[in-house]
Amino acid sequence: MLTRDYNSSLVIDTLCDQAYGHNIAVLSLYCDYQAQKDQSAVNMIGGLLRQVALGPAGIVGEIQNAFDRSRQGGGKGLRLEEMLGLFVKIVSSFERVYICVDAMDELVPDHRSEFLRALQQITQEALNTRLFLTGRPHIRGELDNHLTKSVYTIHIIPDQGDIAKYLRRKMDDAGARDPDLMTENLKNDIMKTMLEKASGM
Amino acid sequence: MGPLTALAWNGWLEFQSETISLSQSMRGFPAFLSLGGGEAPQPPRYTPILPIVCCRIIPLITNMTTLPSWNGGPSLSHDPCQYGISNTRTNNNTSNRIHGNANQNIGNVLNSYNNTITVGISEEASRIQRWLSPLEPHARHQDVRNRRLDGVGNWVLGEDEFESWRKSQDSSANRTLLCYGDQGAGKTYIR
Repeated sequence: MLTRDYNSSLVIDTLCDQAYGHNIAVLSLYCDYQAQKDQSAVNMIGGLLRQVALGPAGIVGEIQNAFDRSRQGGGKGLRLEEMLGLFVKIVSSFERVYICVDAMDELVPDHRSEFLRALQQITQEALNTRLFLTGRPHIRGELDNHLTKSVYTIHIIPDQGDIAKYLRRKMDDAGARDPDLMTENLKNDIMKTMLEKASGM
Repeated sequence: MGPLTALAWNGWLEFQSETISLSQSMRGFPAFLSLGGGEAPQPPRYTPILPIVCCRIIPLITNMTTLPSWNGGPSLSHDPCQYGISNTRTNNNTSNRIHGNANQNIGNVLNSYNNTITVGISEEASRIQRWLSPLEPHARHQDVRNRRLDGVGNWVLGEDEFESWRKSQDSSANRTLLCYGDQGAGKTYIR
């Protein structure tokens, strides 16, 4: 595992593959510290809602109704509680719903707390939901505080084979651009050094 | 744990050929919202030329027709749309390609047979989606998966925790899986 986004992306794709033939939804959200101001809890839950808003026959009825009501009332956005209610209602039609959120640590702490509470509410009210979260280690403590149920955890540590594979690709790319700079000797040196360091030598 | 433990985590390992150094950007994901800045590679920007599907002029926009297309993909994350033609401009070249993901006039869901339903959605539907949230997670996922190397990280999928979580029943106490890892030491070190 080289980067966390690879990790999430891989898991999401795997879930999707395994969902084939079933009435299962795989929803994903990505946190990014550069976009923190947009990543409020209400926008995050809205981002999930977006992904279930379109059914085979267009916008699902509950959301269309909410939108029409909002338009009549001046076009205000939904409140978080309203979004959660809609989301839980809509996802109940699925056999299972995977919610994958990457880089929880990149949310503003206040937003993160509110978002975690919202996720907690979703998992409590919609038992068919599963959460897949990634983040730095300190996120563990926050999960314990916000999610009443226990969580499975996997500690992501570097895998030598993964590092080598990734390095090789990057060095080959660089070599293709600057063959004079990126010589085979240099590639070998970089590879050796990186793998040694990665293994803690 | 070695100082490069964090190499495995939360960042782009970018090879910078000019300085012959390796750097890890702080960003776990390139921002799917941020449109500039940062050292991580940005996804290509798509400029839709024509929302070619279903822009019929219908006075009652709430009843606008949608044209679903089925691409047979297993899920929404699998290149959900073969939908629009766009002019894709990258740093060095311009090419026409069929795409869908980065176009916000697109929606997709999983249906009961788990095909991706791609709907060239109406302005109304698009407006509703924007009303729900400004975030557009699909585009980001596609960008990341395009750059993923086959086989990298597969060990996670073989972990007992992953399988237990994936197969957990609705009644199960454990319905959350957290993947966590260090970050910090690596960045400084690799530079």
